[in-house]
Amino acid sequence: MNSAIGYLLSRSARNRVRHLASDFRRPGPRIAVAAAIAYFAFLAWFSPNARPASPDTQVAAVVGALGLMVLAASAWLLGTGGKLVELNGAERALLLPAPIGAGRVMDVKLMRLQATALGNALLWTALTSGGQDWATIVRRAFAFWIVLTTLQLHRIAAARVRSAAAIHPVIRRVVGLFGIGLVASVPLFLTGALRESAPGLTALLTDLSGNPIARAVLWPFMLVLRPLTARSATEWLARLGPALGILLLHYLWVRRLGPEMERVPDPLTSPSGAPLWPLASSGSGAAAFFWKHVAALVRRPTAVVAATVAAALLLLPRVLQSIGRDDASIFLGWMLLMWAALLLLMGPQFVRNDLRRDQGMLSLLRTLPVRGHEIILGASGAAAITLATGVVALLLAGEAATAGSTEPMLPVEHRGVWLLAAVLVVGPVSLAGILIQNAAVILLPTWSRMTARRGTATSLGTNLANSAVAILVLAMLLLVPYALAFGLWRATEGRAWMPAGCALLAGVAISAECWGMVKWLGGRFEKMEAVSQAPATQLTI
Amino acid sequence: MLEVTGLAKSFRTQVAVAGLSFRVPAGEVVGLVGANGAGKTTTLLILAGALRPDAGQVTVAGHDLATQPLEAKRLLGFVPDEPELFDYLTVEEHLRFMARLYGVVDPDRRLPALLAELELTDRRQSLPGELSRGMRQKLALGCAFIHDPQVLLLDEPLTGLDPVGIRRMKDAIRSKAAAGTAVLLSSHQLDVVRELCTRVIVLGHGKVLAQGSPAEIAGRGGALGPGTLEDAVLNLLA
Repeated sequence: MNSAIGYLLSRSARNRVRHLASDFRRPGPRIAVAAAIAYFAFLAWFSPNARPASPDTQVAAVVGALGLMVLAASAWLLGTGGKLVELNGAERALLLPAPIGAGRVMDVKLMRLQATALGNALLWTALTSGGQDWATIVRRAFAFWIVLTTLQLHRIAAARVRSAAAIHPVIRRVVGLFGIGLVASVPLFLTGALRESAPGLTALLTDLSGNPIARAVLWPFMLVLRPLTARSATEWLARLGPALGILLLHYLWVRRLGPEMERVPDPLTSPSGAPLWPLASSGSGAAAFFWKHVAALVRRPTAVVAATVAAALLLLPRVLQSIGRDDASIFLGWMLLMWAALLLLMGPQFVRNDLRRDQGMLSLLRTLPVRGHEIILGASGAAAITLATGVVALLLAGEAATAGSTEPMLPVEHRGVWLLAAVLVVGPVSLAGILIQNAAVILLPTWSRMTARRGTATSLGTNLANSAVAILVLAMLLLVPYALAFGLWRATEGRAWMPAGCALLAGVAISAECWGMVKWLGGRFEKMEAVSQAPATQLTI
Repeated sequence: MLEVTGLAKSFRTQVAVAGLSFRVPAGEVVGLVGANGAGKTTTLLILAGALRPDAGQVTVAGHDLATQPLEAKRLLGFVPDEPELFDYLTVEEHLRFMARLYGVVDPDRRLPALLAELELTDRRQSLPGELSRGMRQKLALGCAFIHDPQVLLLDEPLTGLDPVGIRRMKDAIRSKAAAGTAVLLSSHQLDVVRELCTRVIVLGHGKVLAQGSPAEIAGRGGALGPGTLEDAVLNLLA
């Protein structure tokens, strides 16, 4: 039986490599890989400057352990690890009925995941080992492999426990509360520590590293990370045992849990039938599609998590200000404003409750008695509102957090007008960004499908190239509105309402451009060939 | 009701449909049979408006599908071979959504009867992910039936249904036809075709190999002489 499993794994790997090689005959994957290589080269080039002089400090250990703890906690909260070992159709039909144990089936899945763990370990090693000798590099690669594999196993175990608990309502709530408690404990603990520590992030982390409760909570995470920061072979060997022990315990845990024999919908990760406002029985097709795509958003479990995180971010500045830590609140505020800008630029790639959700069903949509532009407008409008809401929430939270700041970039007396100006352009810019992504679904369907894949260098490169091109196109779209707004700015210089007026003019101009895009894309949608909409083939077994 | 003239479609060098012409009058159930790759699904996709033909004309109750697509599509109901459903809409919401798109005047009156007919009344609040394959198929059929189309295009409509569901679906197709709906049904199940269809079109390499009533087709029988519909179709496809 072992030979059969070995045969399956080796042949699958060989066929996958062949498939990937044949994929490179097309320009899309070649561009994607080139973008990924350029990105890694960029990181490797700049990483020596970013590396701390002495990584084995208590502060670095606390930061690393905190990061690992947040990742582990989010696995319990989101349950995304289940996807890693989800059985595909062939495995379900052919492996489960075969006379092999559930543990062996799990081994097959874990072996397949090793490609990702090994690849990531090598990548992180390459990025952090400039100028080191070979022995150190090998030790570091092994240490990275331990961290990544342990985290992977922990994510799987968390998802499997959640999935098993999903059958029992009480246990399900306990597991859910455990995840929320773990995640909530981090900001609570940090807030408590902030109250005591001196100003500055380093002072906070130094205090944390000396705090006995923090050390106890972070201890297992530190154990896993310690081989990474060993400065000699002897130290590395001494630290290896506990880390390997934790890895082994995780492996035994996951193997004992076994694969998911039947698809039990996890209420915390599966879409819910949460009530939505009823769809009116008559009206435009665009409004019906808008309603449908809003349903796709609010019924995703991650919507609840996103709303919780947003609420926490809105509350956190108030908490910080109430304990007299205005410095931390202002720091957080600047971070939030930066995230708002990043979300506006990069968000269209990831907010996908639009035509990208229905990419496998475009043929069916073509059979409906609705004009193409109505489908485009409804789908893109829903995603744009989602994105704009996120950006505006971050802007408001950032503004609230920097309320005490006297930074010259945000003069207190003009803040309200600038905030209004920002809010006025966020909606149209979001719609433009989303429309560019939806244009890819219609004009470059194969490329657009590649952006949905995850976990490979090709997918990373695809997303990087996609973002770069989308931002470039967005910048071109904004040229005329920007010129108009600039003209108005020069004509009305000195007026208090000027920023809002310019933003309004720019918003109207962008909206007009968006309408032109919607009409054009609608026409293209109606002329699409169904043959190019077939899902990209993926080798699974 | 449905008229197809000189329909042709190629995918690069592969000819899928080659000059197909046929009619499906009101009240008739026409079966489309043929080997895998004969062009059945491509034909249905073109007729449903999901694919553009390279040549030919499709008219639905006098509306040209190319020049009056919305008018023609409003009269069509299409069920693909695999039930295509939206992950995040419940059973009832699917039907309401389709009713809205097809302009059904009083969906509240239509819904309970349709849900009962599909045996989905108890699952009206379920999402597609919570349904069995057969229930998903029933929902896909419901989406095509909600607006009482004048032309029904069904691609393997009985796949995945339980015996009760199959019986109900056969009855539904018969009653739709009796009420004047033109039905074009693609299926590999020749006993179903024989039972339901008033006329059969046998396709091979995108062309009509034979057409007529099931009895006429069976009567031709090919080299083996008169036999069953299955024998005749196998001979034609050989």
